[in-house]
Amino acid sequence: MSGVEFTEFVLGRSPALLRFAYLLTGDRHLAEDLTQEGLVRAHRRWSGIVSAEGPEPYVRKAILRQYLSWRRRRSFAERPVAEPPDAVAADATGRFDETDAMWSLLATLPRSQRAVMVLRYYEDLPDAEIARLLGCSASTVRVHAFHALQKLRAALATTREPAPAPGGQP
Amino acid sequence: MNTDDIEDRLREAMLLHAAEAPPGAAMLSTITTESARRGRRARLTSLSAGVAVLVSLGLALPFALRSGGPHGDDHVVAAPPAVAASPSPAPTLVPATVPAAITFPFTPSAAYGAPAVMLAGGHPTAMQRHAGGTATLTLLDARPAAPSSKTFATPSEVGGRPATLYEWHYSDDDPGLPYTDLQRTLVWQPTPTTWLTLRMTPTPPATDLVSYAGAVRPGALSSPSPFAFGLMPAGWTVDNISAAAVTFRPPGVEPGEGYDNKIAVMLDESPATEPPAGDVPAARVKVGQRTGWLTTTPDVQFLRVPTGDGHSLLLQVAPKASLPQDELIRFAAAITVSPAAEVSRG
Repeated sequence: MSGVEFTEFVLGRSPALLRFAYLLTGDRHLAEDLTQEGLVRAHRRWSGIVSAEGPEPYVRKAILRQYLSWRRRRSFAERPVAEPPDAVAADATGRFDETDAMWSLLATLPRSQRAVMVLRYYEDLPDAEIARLLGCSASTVRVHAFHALQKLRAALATTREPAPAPGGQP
Repeated sequence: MNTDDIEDRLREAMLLHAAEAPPGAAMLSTITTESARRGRRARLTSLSAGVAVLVSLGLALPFALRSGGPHGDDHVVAAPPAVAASPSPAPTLVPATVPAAITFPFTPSAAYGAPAVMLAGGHPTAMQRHAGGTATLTLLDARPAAPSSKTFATPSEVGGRPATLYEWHYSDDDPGLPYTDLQRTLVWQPTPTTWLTLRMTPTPPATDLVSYAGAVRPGALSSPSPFAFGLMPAGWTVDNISAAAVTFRPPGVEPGEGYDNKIAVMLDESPATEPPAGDVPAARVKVGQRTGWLTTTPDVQFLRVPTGDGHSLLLQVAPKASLPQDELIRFAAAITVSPAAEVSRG
């Protein structure tokens, strides 16, 4: 194993891996846990993964697998979000509020759907690559994406209040 | 809102919030240390298992190793299931003493919506959404220690009573953590025998903490338990009850909000009418009149029992909290899901 190579990989890529894990989990500590675990596993079989698919896909896959199956180390403080966030008033900061509402709504998605959202719209991966990472078919990825977008759209529609027209004009 | 619009909003939200990810500055040394520790453990496990087999059978058998994929640990001998790892004699099951409801004897301001009441780490706790975050009140029967060795303490006042404001960081006592955001905890004594702590996330100015605490009044809040338990292991303690989960900790396990070393009982989103998908096959077991699925791996055991309404009862058992299989099934068979239970998304 090349210690220098692994060190360079961690120093260079861990911020991106942490952002990826944070977008999946929405929790800073959990994101660190998952990333750290993925990197520990990569460290223990470094020479094998470097010569195969490369370390980054391996670690991302490890983070995803842990995220999708993770339960045993879940903190009691992590509670399910059963309802969409409270209505967001339309005002001068409406755009920012909607962005915040979207972030809250991501937490209401099942994990597989959230993973597809992150891989598609943050990582900009094609469905075939997402399918490979998730271990499912591309059509399953499309079904997850369809349901997730449908749910987000419906939830956002209910949180939007029509802004009153200035001066009472329509 | 059309699809393109919502996709743009998604990208925007994720780009914005990605910046909140932790920096991970001190991760490298933690990773290499943990990796080395696992290497030592794996070598010891292989050695002791090999010796045991040779002694008992008088011949060498090939060791089956777990898959080397990203979801598996390295070099772990596929040997005893989690249930065999219990260091102490198996407890007997006795009539359960889990309360039907959790009571919190104080009420925060009604201005921010109804608080959720729970038992967290053994302490009655009330959580309330507040200013885009969460305010958490915890009731203690002794003055809590300072949150970290580097805590900065400032005298304060709540409702005319002396209080202490602690300012600290998660990284104060953990060099493996990157420098973390400033945390504030307010502690005061509302009655001669009780203490309250208040924390808010994201961390607000100190004046906001004091203002919120000043609105806390005597008055009981209550939440029903999500499950009714007929039996529980003798000598064990319930240390967490929320709408989402109840945890049982065996003797010797410190109370805390985590699930490690405990049995956690949850209502799961899956119907569990078929064996769960995964690398480890599940065993079909009879739980009362229902058919459940028991999955055992070296570091956790899951028992899933359909509830008949599209969900399932899920018991997550850590190795230190293992029960013999027939006792675990008797324990599960005596659990009833209450209307207060919230479905967990895994």
